[in-house]
Amino acid sequence: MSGKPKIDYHAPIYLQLRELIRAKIEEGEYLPGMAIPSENELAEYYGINRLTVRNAIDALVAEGLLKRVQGKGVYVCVVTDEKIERDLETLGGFRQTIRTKKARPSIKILTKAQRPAGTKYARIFNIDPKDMVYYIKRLDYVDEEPVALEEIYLPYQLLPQLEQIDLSVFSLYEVYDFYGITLKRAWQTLDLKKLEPSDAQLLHVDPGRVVLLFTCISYDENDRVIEYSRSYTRGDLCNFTVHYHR
Amino acid sequence: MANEYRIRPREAAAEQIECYILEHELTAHAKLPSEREMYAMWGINRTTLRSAIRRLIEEGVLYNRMGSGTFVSPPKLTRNLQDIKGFSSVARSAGHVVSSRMVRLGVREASKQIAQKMHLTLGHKVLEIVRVRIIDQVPVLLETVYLDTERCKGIETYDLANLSLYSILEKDYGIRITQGVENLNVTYTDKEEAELLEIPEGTPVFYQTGVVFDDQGVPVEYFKSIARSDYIRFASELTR
Repeated sequence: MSGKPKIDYHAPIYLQLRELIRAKIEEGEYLPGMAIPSENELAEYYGINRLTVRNAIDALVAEGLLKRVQGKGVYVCVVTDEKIERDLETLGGFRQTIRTKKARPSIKILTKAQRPAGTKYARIFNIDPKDMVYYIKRLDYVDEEPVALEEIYLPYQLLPQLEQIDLSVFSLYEVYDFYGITLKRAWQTLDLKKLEPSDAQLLHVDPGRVVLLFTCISYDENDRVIEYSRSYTRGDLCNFTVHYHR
Repeated sequence: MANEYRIRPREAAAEQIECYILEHELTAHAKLPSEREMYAMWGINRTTLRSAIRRLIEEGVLYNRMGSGTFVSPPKLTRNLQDIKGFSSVARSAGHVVSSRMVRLGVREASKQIAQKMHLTLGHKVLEIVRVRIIDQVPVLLETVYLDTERCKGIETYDLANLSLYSILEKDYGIRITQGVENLNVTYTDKEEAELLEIPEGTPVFYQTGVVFDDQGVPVEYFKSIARSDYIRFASELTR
């Protein structure tokens, strides 16, 4: 007989803890994108050795069910059969390449809050103006240099409890995965834009210069608008390439 | 979420105006209500309204005419980057009057850059075509095209200011353009570019370069374009 070995009270403690955490994830006590309690907290709560806790967590990290983030904690992931990094680049369209090699990307969330949709976003998302939307403003860095300032709008109803998810740890594409949302297509436009002085400063752009403004509306398989975003990107650090064929 | 984002009054006002335009289906050059009327409708104070209008003007949504009010800007010409159609056919199907002005037409030897892009040897003879593309009497695009003189013998005798290069290539030279790769970024106009496009020197503009290939994968054309961002917008449909 194949299958999981039965875990009972005779089993090593680290295995018991591993299965306990797995069960909490499956039952939804620990939700995708959320941090689980720290190793110290778990060790103290269950009265076990910290190394034992680490062993249990390591096993789940190896399985891909948990993700360890340096200096932050351990987060719940979703294991899908095909783990693809979903980037708009894989949808085709503008391919953005950073000019420096060995680039280390990181994200800093500046604002993550709810606001009423108001008339404009109510139209975009086809919701009531009083319905809430998430507003996320963030800076994308490469090698500690800011390359893009992004403003992202998401409808609250489609992504409840987004506040629990650390967006500097998970990409929005991973988040959509957690909610079972698959982006199907997007419409992107490109303009040139002069930034407000305060935003120019955030992006280390000379106030007299312009940035590339990508506006993007993303749709899921049911043709619902999932995301509306504006990305102000520095042209001096990025290249944009498009391939097309008949 | 614990915190609620307080929309800045100016942002709210700008969103309100954008919506008003959509809801009332205001088209290009339609006049916006006066500040007093907007105040009566939405209770937004004048300073805020003015600042919102200023932002929308900067974004190209509105324009101002001294003494007569604020108007809706005509939509920018949207060039879908996946679309292989040339500039003139895109502009024409959007209902614009399109024309071109020839700036330079002549043979030169391929520089290293041209040679590499077109898979030719250094010094190979190429035809250089420099045109200003004009929509509704506004010069919006300055385009430089390089073609291999051996493949396109006699093409300089066509009326290249008015005819579509791609259809000449297809009809008379049997060259079918099927794919391409383009690079996009921003640049600032130099003196010559500024004069040709009738904008101040140093204006930020799109800088587009690319190579198009025939159905055999052979480079046909290498081009460089300077496009005015107040009239042209690029777009791309992303699909899975």
